[in-house]
This record gives sequence, C-alpha cells and structure tokens, in this order.
Amino acid sequence: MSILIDAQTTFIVQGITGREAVNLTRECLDYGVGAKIVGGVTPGRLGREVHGVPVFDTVAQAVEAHGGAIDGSVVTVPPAFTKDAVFEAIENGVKLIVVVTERIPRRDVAQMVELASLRGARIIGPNCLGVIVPDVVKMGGIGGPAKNAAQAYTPGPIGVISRSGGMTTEMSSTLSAAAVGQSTAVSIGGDAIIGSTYAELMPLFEADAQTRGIVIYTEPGGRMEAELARWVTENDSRLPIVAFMAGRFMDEMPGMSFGHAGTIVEGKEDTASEKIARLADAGIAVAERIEDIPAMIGEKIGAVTAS
Amino acid sequence: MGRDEQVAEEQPDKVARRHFSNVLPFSDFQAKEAIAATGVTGSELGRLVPILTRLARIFVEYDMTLAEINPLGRLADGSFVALDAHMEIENEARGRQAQLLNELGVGEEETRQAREATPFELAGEQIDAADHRGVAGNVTEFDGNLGLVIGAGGGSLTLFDAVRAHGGKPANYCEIGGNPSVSKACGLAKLVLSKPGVERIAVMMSIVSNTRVDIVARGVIKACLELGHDPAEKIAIFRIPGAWEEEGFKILERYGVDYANRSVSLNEAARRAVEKIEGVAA
Repeated sequence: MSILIDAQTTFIVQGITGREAVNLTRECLDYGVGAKIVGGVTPGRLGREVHGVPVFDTVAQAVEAHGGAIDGSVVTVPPAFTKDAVFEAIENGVKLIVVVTERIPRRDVAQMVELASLRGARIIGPNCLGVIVPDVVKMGGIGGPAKNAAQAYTPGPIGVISRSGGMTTEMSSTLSAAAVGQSTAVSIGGDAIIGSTYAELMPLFEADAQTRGIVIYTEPGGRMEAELARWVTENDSRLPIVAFMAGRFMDEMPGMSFGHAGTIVEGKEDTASEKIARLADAGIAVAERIEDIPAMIGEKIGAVTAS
Repeated sequence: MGRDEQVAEEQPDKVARRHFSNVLPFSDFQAKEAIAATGVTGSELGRLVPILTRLARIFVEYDMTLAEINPLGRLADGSFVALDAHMEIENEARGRQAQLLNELGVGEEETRQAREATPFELAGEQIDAADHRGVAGNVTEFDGNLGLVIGAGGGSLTLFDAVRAHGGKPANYCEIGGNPSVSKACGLAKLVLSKPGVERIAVMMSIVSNTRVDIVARGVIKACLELGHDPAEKIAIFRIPGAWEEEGFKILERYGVDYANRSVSLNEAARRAVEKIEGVAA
C-alpha cells in the first residue's frame, strides 16, 4: 500500500503546455505502471495533446471528458495565477492538489489552504516536487525522469517526508542503497505556509500497513517540527521516526534566509538546536549524518517487529 | 525582551490570540471578542475595535507577515493613538504591492535580510539574473578559504553544515538548481574562484533530477580555464550525481578532476574537500 496516491489515481496537470510541465508529464507517464494522467489544462489550448494527454481550457472540461471525478491535479502555473488554478481544481471536486510553483505570495497560499480545508481537499506544497510510490507511480517531478527515479527509489517499509524536494531523493537513495525501501515519499515543500505538514501526514502513514517507520528531512524556521513533536507525544504512534536537520549554521545568523522561503531564524523556536531538542524530547532520533539514517531506522523497525 | 513579550510571559490572561479567515472578510465582532477576552470593556472596547479591525484588514490586503501597533497610547480624553507601528510585507508580494512600496519610498534593494548585501553577493545576484534558466546564485559571503559551488536548497544547507563540521572554512554559501545554463554555472564558479582568499572550490549537490550534471561540470571547468587555473588543481571535489551523470563524469575525467558519484555521501564529499585544503579534516 501507499499514502495519498496509488496505481489507480487519476490526475490532471494544470499548466501542462509549459516546458517543465511537458517534461513532468513525460516522467509521470513513464514511471512505474504509468500515471493515469487524464488531461491537462492550459487556457486557450483546447484540442492539443501533450504526450498523448488531451489539453482542455478548463478543469470542468477535463472532468466532463473523463466522465467523472478526477482524483488529483499537479499545478505548475506561474505564481500570479496559481491561486486561481488551485481554486478551480478544488471547486471542480479535485481532492489532492500538488502545487509545484515557487514564489507564490503567502496570502494566496493561506487562501488556497483554507479553501482546501473547507472543501475537504488536500494540498501538497507549494514549492514541492510531489509524491512518489516506488516502482508504482509518481505525481510531480519528484526523482526526475523515470530512469533516474527508478535508480533512487525502491519499495519498502519507510515513509519519507521532506521540506526539500532534492533531499527527498538524496535520502531515499541513501535508504535504497542500504536495502531499506520506501512506502511513499512526499516532498511537502519549502514555503512558510504549506498544505500538508509532517503532523498532518502522520495519520496517513499510521493507517498504511506497509509503513513501519518514518524518515524526515527538516530545516530551521517555522513551527512544523514542534507540531510533529506534539503529535507524536499526544498520539501513541506505532511508527518510529528518524529526523535529519540541515542548516544548523543558521542559528548564528538570525534574520538571514537560506535555502527555502520558509527557512529563516526569526525567533528562538526557529533555530535548529531548539528543534532538535524538541524532536529528541518527543523520542524522535535526530541523525548527525544522512549515511547514519538507514542503520538508525533499521534498528528501530527491527525492534518494533521483535516486540 | 519587548514590552509585549513581557506581558505575554507575566500576565498571559492579558493576551488574546485568535485565528481569522483569509477567505472570508474580517468582521468587527472578531476584534471585539479578542479585545474583550483581555478584560477590556466600557467605552474603551468601542474605541479599540475599529483599530484592530483596520489593522487586520490591512494585514491581509497588503500581503503582510507582521502588522503591529506598539505602543498604542491612550490620551487624556480617552481616545487612542498609535505611537509606533511595525509592518512587514513579504518578498513574494513586492510586485503587486509596488505602488504602496513606492509611496512609502521603500527601495528595491531593501530586503528583509538582516544585513545589507555585500558587493560579492550583489555580483552573485547579477549572474543569476543574466538569463532566466535555472538558479545559480543566492550567494552569501563568508570569510573562509574553501569556495562552495553547491545546491540545491536543502543540499546547500546540508553541505554547508558538513563542511563546517569537518573543520572547513567556507568562503561563501550559494545555490544551484533548476537546470541553469553553462554560462550561469560558469559565472557563479568564476565569482567564487575570484574571491580573495579562496584556495579551491568544492562543487557539490544532492542527487539532481532536473539540473544536468554535465552542464554544471562544463560550467565549472570553463570557469577554471578562463581564469587560467588547472581544473584538477582548483576543484577540490565534484560530487553531483543524477541526470546526465555519465556525460558529466566523462568531461571531469578528461580534465583530471576528482569526482564522486552517489555512493559517496554529501558528508564524505565535504570531508574530502576540507582535507585537500586543511591537510586533515576533523
């Protein structure tokens, strides 16, 4: 099993005729069993095709042509138009929206996330690479071309959640090299406000029988790690977690932003050291080096199996 | 500690917190409830509600990340006046708030970073702005001897930590990503190589799927050659695995550059780079 998506998931690509979106569509069609991309949307391009995927002017047309509800959408339109595109997807019944676009104004993101919550939809991102279920399906640019994604990701018991798209692949590749596969890897995005945080994805992994442990990649800035620590403390989770914290040097440089839009130390709670302490207090192991992660999580899931 | 933080700590019942919608319009009762929750009543409540309502609406309308009136003074006649205020508009909204920023006389160069950009950092911005393809910039200056040409967002953070953990002294932070052109990668590498005190550069990224390994390899080698350096000497290590790596590694081999594939961790690559400069890594 997996979380969020599986081989049956249908989705569209909004902004499908853009250069990056054309590549992303190819990658998703080629990977695993092949994604069920049932349409693309670019206003004014009705009737075209991208790698055999029909292009529509509106999401409503795509839904009508499909003859029923569409599960998901990958949104790759420019920042100024992203909020409208996400609203369009939500109002047409799409329940899982992967927002790839970077540099969306924060107010727009807050509105997208709020509307999604009102309508029972889920947003992954923005500023993310999407979701991958190793050897089965991927939704978004995560892992890159099918050949490269297949090299880094292998099926197995570990759920991966990462604020960095590239590090989702680096960490999964490190796990794969140690014969520790992944159930689902989610690039959740690097912005200050995102649709799905660690704590919001944990219940999904908790409910997934294949998943036996979680590996997260995290950075300074924001309250997401504190939220995860609280979730772990309040819920008697069966899943051991190993975290890796990058950007420790930023603790000495308050007010300077590095890496991602949401990665800035503005207060004590934002610092790497404070977050590491909070995670450790909640029983989450924090790795010093990425190459230490496979053994750390391996030992924990081994112990869980034995008990 | 500010006065507001002091109150929050010593008299938490005098602080009200509340969420409000970004989709539905802000309504006076929301301000009234928040203010009443701190124990304010009588004519003061009536006078304060419109102030907080306007502050909340301004916050949303002008893409703010912070809107603060502090302190708010009460005059002898019972009216209130803002004695100071602090507001921050987020970077991504600068475009659509250009008119307001212009009216307020806030210049393009005034970012939310804690200190002003150095000439080295500004030169990095220019390289990144030279063409629209990919990113080769976000340069921050440090005073070490190991130049870094690193990426992407998360990879750069990880690598910078790793270099320091091994006792290395980075000359800079930067980010490559999104498949920049050869000339952009070359421009960034030249900038770093030309920085006074830089002995060598380390070219390292987490596994790339969009950015092409061969393009970055060509960019950094070109930078060395154009500055009259031997790439094998100047590039301490090249660790970028991923898309087009066979092509990239071939080019690196031709110039005798020490490179590593994904079997060498980011941490190990950083250690090897530090060792070449410091003799021995921590």
